[in-house]
Amino acid sequence: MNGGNLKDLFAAKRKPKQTKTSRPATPCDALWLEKNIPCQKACPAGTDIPAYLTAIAEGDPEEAYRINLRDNIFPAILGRVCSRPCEAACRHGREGLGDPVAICFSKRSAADFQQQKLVVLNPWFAPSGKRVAIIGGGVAGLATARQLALCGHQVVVHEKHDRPGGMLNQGIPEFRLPRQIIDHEIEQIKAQGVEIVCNSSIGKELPLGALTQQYDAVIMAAGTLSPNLPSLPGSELEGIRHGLNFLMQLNTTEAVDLGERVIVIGGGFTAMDCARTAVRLGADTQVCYRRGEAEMLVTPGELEELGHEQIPLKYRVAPKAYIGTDGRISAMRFVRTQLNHERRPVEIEGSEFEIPVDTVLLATGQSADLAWIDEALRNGHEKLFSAGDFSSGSSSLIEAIANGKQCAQNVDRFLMGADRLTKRVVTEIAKKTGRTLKMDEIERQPMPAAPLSQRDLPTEVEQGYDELTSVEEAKRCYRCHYKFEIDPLKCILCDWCLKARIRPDCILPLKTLQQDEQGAVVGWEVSEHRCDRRRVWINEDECIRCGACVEACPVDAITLHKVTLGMEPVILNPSEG
Amino acid sequence: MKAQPGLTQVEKDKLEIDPDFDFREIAARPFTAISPNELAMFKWSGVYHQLQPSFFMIRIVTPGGRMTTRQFNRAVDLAEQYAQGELCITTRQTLQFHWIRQEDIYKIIEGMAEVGITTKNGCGDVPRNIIGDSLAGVGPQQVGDSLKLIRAMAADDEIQNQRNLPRKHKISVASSNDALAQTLMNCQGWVPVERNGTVGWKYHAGGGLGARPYLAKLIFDWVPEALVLDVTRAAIEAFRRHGDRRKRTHSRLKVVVDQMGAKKFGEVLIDIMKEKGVQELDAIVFANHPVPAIGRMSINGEAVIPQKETGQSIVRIMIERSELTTAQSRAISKLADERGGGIVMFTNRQNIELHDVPNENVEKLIKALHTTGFRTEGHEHLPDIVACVGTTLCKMAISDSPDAYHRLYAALATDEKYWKAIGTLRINITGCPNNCAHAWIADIGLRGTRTRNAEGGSTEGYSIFVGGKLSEAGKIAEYLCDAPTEEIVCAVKKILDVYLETRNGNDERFVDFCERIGVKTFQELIK
Repeated sequence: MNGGNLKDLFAAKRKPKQTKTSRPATPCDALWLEKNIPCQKACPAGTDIPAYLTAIAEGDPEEAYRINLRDNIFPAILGRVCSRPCEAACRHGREGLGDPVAICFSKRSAADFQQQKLVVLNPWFAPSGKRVAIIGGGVAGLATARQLALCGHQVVVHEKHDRPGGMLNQGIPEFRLPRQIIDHEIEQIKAQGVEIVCNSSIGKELPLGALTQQYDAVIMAAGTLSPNLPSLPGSELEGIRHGLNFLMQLNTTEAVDLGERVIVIGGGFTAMDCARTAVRLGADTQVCYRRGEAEMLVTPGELEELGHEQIPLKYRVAPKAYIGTDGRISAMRFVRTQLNHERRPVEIEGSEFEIPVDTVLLATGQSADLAWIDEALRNGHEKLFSAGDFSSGSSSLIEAIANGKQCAQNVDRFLMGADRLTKRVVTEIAKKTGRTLKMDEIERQPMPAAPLSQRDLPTEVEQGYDELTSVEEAKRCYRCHYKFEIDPLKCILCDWCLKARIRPDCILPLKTLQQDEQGAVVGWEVSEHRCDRRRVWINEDECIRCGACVEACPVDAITLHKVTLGMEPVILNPSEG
Repeated sequence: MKAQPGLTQVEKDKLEIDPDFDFREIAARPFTAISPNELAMFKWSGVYHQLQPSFFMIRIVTPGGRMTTRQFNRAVDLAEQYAQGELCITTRQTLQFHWIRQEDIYKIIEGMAEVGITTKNGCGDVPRNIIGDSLAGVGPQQVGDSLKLIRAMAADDEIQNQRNLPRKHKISVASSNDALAQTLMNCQGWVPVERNGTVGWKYHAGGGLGARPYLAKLIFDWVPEALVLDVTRAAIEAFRRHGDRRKRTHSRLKVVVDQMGAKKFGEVLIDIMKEKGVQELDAIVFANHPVPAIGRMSINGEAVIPQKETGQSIVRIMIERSELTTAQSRAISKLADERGGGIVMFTNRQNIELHDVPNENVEKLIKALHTTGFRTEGHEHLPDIVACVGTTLCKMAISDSPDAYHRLYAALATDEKYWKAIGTLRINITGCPNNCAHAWIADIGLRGTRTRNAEGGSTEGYSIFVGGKLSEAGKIAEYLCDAPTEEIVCAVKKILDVYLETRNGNDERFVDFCERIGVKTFQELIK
């Protein structure tokens, strides 16, 4: 008899069952998250994607919106214009498993179908009496402001333009992001207690130094508005514009005359927006990019829309010179390139050619303007912090949000002298995931788009899922936040789960499983024969949470837990709770 | 599209493949030309693909477990020709042929059909062989005529032509209120009851073992005999309607009854019978309480049991590990003809009884049996061990249960003084959690497992459960400990020694002892 083991065995069986536990996240959790919830790991803002997709699939868009709001602050906006790093990481998109879940479209659907009231979150802490100024009412500034407001601080955002939103209003065309969507989610931030002062330019009239005296902390989130312009012959000619300036001018409703022929230079978000906007203004437009398609930094699906809108895109062509007559550009000279081993473009000698043009839009990046910062503060100040693109350089909206959240945490620590926000792992015993294998047969639902004939500047191209489609799409999610584990104390090594597995390596018979000191799996040795079999183990990286193993297990040895990783306030003083 | 759980592969196969195969045509096919889906559907004809590729097991259908010697002789002849000279008695009172080659399947089926025995519904998602208790028709406690009902159910088109149920369906009809008929582990269980000189039936439903055992609930206190077939049919119809076809582990009637509850299930049956125009349903009496009250086993080790009719007896023969060689079978058959009534009864403990033996022949019969090498002593005691085929033949098995049987039998069943001191004891050994050998309801149940060893691997072994029973309200055996196969004799001996040392006098049966001390104390005592 296994006398020696019985004591442990019975002790394990007697252990009272706790249905929900919460504890600070460890490095091991980070590893688990990375392996198991790749979408959440890929999201710079750490959005709890499986949770909100589950809520949508269960017909609860309100809850889905709240989960999103908690993590990424602008669900309806991001649901339209996010760069979607989560989808590239989605387990459903791995080889042989179909297409990634349309996470971004689903996020939008949750916003579309929730009640359109302002959603105000409960503050994490009581009012602190601390005042924080934020310079810049763009995405990062507003994200930082919302987080600090939840921390109980009084926040004032100084926006130099006449409306907040930064790049949302100034850079992204209306046909991708309707303005009422932006206004609604900024109103939510105001409702959270954030004061936004527009037409408040920091610098000459209100120096930064004055702010540092008036506030307990000052955050610079002024974005990147200084264009990076390539130095080419003929730069002085008229008709050469930076793309972002062009979009800002148009988006602030000024009329823009581009002429008949437009060339957009660049391969990023701004280039796509410039090209699609120019086409809507009636210009014969093409995009020229010095690298290849793989090197472009665009929102998934945008190249397809460029194709639908019949905008030619020339790859591996680099600008060489602006050519003009009478002080105005008439053509652009290019040289063909090839990518070297570092994926850098190298000019091909003798391959130069010219394209006639009336306006060149340079979508070649931008950087932070530092001119408004007091000389005395350029080397820093204990109350000064920075956030978003201004801090990290030009990046995506979701990265700006993540950066703003991190900045808010730093500022809160500075103001309160303690880490009041911490990442925590919540583990709940679950009975089922709610998934069935049938859900794997659902194909990725296409986003309905406006017909070409209706595509003008204000008409939104992506028209959103209907409610049923959004539910169907959300059902595709594998729900990777569920953790299947075989309890070795209960497993009788019958191999029935191995017989039931639907992927070749999702469950493995093992001789050994190697774990590090924190318990993270670092290796394993597969058992070839029953006699050297020590355990049967679920390889979660390959597991698609189908539940076939749970069905097959005759002794209920497979446990199921829902794992949630999120930022939670730490209650330091009960009176603050 | 609306996503929902898909039909299981078996459900798809049932819709697409006709289960009534022409096994002459199958005989002509290369084995590789038989699809796995077809192989799975062979079961509907009682044909089950063994662990060994291209070899088959065939299970026949013997309602109530009774066979004439003519029928039995045919089975023996066929076994000699095609089944390596061996037959196996099942826990559902019938016979299995093993090691049948693909080209010989039809020969068994047709050969048995010639003597009125079918293999149809031997396995598969169908109503299986209808069982009772081995005393049916002759037992001294008999109330009414259970054999008549069993035969009527076995001949009923509406019951037997259910070829696409959600899962297998098992019916038991007892000859008296006696746990012998295993009422509580069947999907439907009938128990006779007499009121004011009229025989009617108590109706139980929702029992079933497998990996997750359920004991049947009492549905009706009284069903007039004239309505028994109607209720049986209605229950099958209810199963057809409400059984879960999308999760095979949840598809048996036991889950339906458990989820509905006894009263609701009874109401569903009444509604179905009303739909069908069945009359006089008011005569059915619902049970006030769903907890059954099955009588304890009326037999306890007797080698000879007097029959209800004076002048005749039942003679009980123990069959080692349920395996009968053709020589042994012929010997039994010959004795049944010469000394008995030409009737062979298979028991759910995989033994044989000879019925209608004139009392004057009993002594000679027993002597002849002993001379032939059979034992008649030890029923319902330690030697009476039930075991499945285990890893010798079954694809699902984890452990070699026949090997465990022989280890226990050789070490413990030969010590008559020891096992007689223990008294009533049923040991059941099942090679996997499917529990074909009913470990859940034994005094001591062994279920195949693999135990981790000191060398860093694992060893074949058993989880040991104790205290199961099918009498009163029934009880599922509780987990006691694990033991590698090498140590099961030692483990069982230790369990029994503790029982012998600790029981409240010689009359406290093992099952009562387990209940009194509780499994946790038992675990402490065997350490």
